[in-house]
Amino acid sequence: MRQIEVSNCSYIYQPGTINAHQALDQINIAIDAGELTAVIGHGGSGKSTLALLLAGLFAPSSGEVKIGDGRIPPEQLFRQVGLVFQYPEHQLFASSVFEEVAFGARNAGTAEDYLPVKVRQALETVGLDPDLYWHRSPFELSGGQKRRVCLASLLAIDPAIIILDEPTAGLDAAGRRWLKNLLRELHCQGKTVLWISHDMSEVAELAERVIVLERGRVIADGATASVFSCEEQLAAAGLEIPQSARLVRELKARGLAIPGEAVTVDGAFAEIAAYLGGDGSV
Amino acid sequence: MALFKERLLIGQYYPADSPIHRLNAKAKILATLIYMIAIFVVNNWYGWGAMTVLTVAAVVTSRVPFSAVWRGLKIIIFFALLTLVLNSFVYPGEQVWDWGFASVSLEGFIYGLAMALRLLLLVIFASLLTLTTAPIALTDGLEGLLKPFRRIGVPAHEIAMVMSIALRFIPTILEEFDRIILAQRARGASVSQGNLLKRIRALIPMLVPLFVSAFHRAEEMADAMEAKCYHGGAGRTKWKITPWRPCDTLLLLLFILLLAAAIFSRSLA
Repeated sequence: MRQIEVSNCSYIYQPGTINAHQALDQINIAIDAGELTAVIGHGGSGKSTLALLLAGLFAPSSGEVKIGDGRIPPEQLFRQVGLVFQYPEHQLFASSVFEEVAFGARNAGTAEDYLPVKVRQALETVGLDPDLYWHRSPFELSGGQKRRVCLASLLAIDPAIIILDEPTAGLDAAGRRWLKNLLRELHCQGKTVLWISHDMSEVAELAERVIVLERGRVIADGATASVFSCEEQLAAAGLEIPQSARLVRELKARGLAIPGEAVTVDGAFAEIAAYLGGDGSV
Repeated sequence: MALFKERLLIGQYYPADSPIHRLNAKAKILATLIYMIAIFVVNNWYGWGAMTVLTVAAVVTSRVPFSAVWRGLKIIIFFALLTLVLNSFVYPGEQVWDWGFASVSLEGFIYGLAMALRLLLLVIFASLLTLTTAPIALTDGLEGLLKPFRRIGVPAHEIAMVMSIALRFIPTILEEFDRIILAQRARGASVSQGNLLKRIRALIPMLVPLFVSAFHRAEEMADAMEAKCYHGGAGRTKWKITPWRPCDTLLLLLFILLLAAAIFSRSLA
């Protein structure tokens, strides 16, 4: 089922002024329900603008963004499309974790007696013990915990599509691992997940599909392994393929008899292990 | 969707290479002050005509496109029109239209027109100062002008520093505010629904994060300044010094002459 359809979409910041800047240039993207897609591209390639357009917070300068059947009024779109901003902890405002997490769900029209149930569920999904955090002020939490609260506040709305703008930025290794697991879990629940990332190995590990943006255009869109096999194209967009993919390719180029096609760490491990005569298990 | 950052452009520096851009900031600030006095001293149409010519000439010389000046004028146009309308109704004189409960006088209309023109010219000229002077040069100029008053306890350097920090952070904070508004709208927040009380309450999720981040930034800024051994104005030297050139003296002389002419023209009226 087609869930997101972006057709001939352009977005221009400050049109008609000397500061006019075309962030997106006639892009076409179609995403089906339940897909786990990564959007990559270097700074200023239009990734964040795309996220804002999909969430209905910006209206395209030209072209069309269709979510679901395309009949959802813009002010109701947030129930369908949940957007987590970069460094979402900057949006915290409430005096308790409960109020913070309930904010979106309340705006979405969740009944007041049902709110605690939703908040509890959302907090459990992000790995915060509801009983411990319920009454605490979100401002006194650590950076990682704040981010969990923000994610919970979005999940409590229960949107079908979840867009995350560099969710792992500024997190420590444990935090990143946790977030990757969360993305997997959301994907398993059948949510459509679109996430913007700078970390190529993270993308290689998780995404089924990768969309590459370069100066507001889609320059590659397809299965993760096939996108990462076009090394030159990615290099032209100022992006590198994941380190593990680079390793197996370099080994193959130096005459090692391996396929040299792996993109993930596990894939590279299996290739090298097979070459060395092992069975690929640790 | 218009963002705050894109809307608030009043008097933003417009880099260009023009004789006015090259003038010393101190001279420009003083000239603007004298202009302000002159425009309220003038009380006849010859004077206002001359001031208009001078202002238009200044805008043309500055090479700032009219569209940039116009952007800052939009809000003032409203006040100028309000001045015109109010004066037309309130000012005593020969009544042109009379509806019984309210009447318009010709003198009032003309006086209103003059007041509106004064307001417009004043704003154009003042915004020309900020359009042609980089914020740092402007605060430096202000510091230079306030320096003589340090003896009577005016903290010249501190005032200039506070101003330049404030100017520096206006765009940053507007950007931040835009981001916060978008982020809360992504969670379904809306300030355009419900009654007044509801709308004011809807501002809390927007304003609390803004203040939190502003205080946070201020603290970080203070730490960064201390880390660079900032300790106020005493003994501080400047990296870039704009010299006071003969043309700056000339500009001041010209404006003093203008003020004298304005005072003299009063006695003619």
